[in-house]
Amino acid sequence: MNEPQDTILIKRVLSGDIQKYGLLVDKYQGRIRNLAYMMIGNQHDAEDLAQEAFVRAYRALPKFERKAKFSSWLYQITLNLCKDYLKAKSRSARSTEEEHLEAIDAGPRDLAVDDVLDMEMSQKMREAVSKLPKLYREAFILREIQAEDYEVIAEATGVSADTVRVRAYRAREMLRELLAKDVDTFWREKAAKEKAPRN
Amino acid sequence: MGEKKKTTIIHKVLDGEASKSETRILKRSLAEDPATKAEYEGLKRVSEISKKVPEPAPDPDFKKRVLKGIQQNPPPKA
Repeated sequence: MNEPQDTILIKRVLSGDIQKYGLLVDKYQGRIRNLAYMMIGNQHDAEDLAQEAFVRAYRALPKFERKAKFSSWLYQITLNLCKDYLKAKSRSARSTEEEHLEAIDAGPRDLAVDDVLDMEMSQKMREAVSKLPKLYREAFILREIQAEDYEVIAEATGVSADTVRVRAYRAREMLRELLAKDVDTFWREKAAKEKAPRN
Repeated sequence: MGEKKKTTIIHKVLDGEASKSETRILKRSLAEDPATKAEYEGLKRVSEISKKVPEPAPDPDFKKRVLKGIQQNPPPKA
């Protein structure tokens, strides 16, 4: 489903067909839930934030300016909710470390054994991403994990595409340092697994 | 080529945004300089692994919860 179809759905919602909003939720829920989860590192709270983002977007739909993409706008709402959440959390006494440990329960269930290595590395990546400064984290998640264009991220974050590029580049460099040992081990084990005879 | 420029070219190549001449410059540098090769490989691996991070498993109740949430609010008017 492309952006013009989003616009058609939005018009239908605004004319009173609430169920059409469900199609937008279907389309974007994976990306929004993942963005919230990776930004705040707590899956349970991320689900609530993602849900709230869709509700807020619905309520603000009459004010949505269609010169922006619906996806950018939804990202922006989600990021604002995440920022408020993180601000409130940093004021509370709860340890961030504790949050990170709680975070490692994502991803599809019923995994094949072959996926275990990928899952372990994904978990390490999630942990490392959660250690990035917030502005680098949002740029990296949207660019590398959600595979969004820099222009879409720029709209969502309110800075230029070049600024987003610099943040995403810097995030990659920091992750390279943070994950150096894990990444080497991952590729070595992956190569060994591919060479090993299959049962 | 300066270190900063070289690193920027690596990022542009990874993003598929490098020009032909930038790609040529990097290829040459990769062949001649082990430090550039190590940096390129490291950043490439981070980029590849990040693409393997899965989205949370689909939640069939998520949409229901959102729709219930919006029904508790007045419908928007165009």
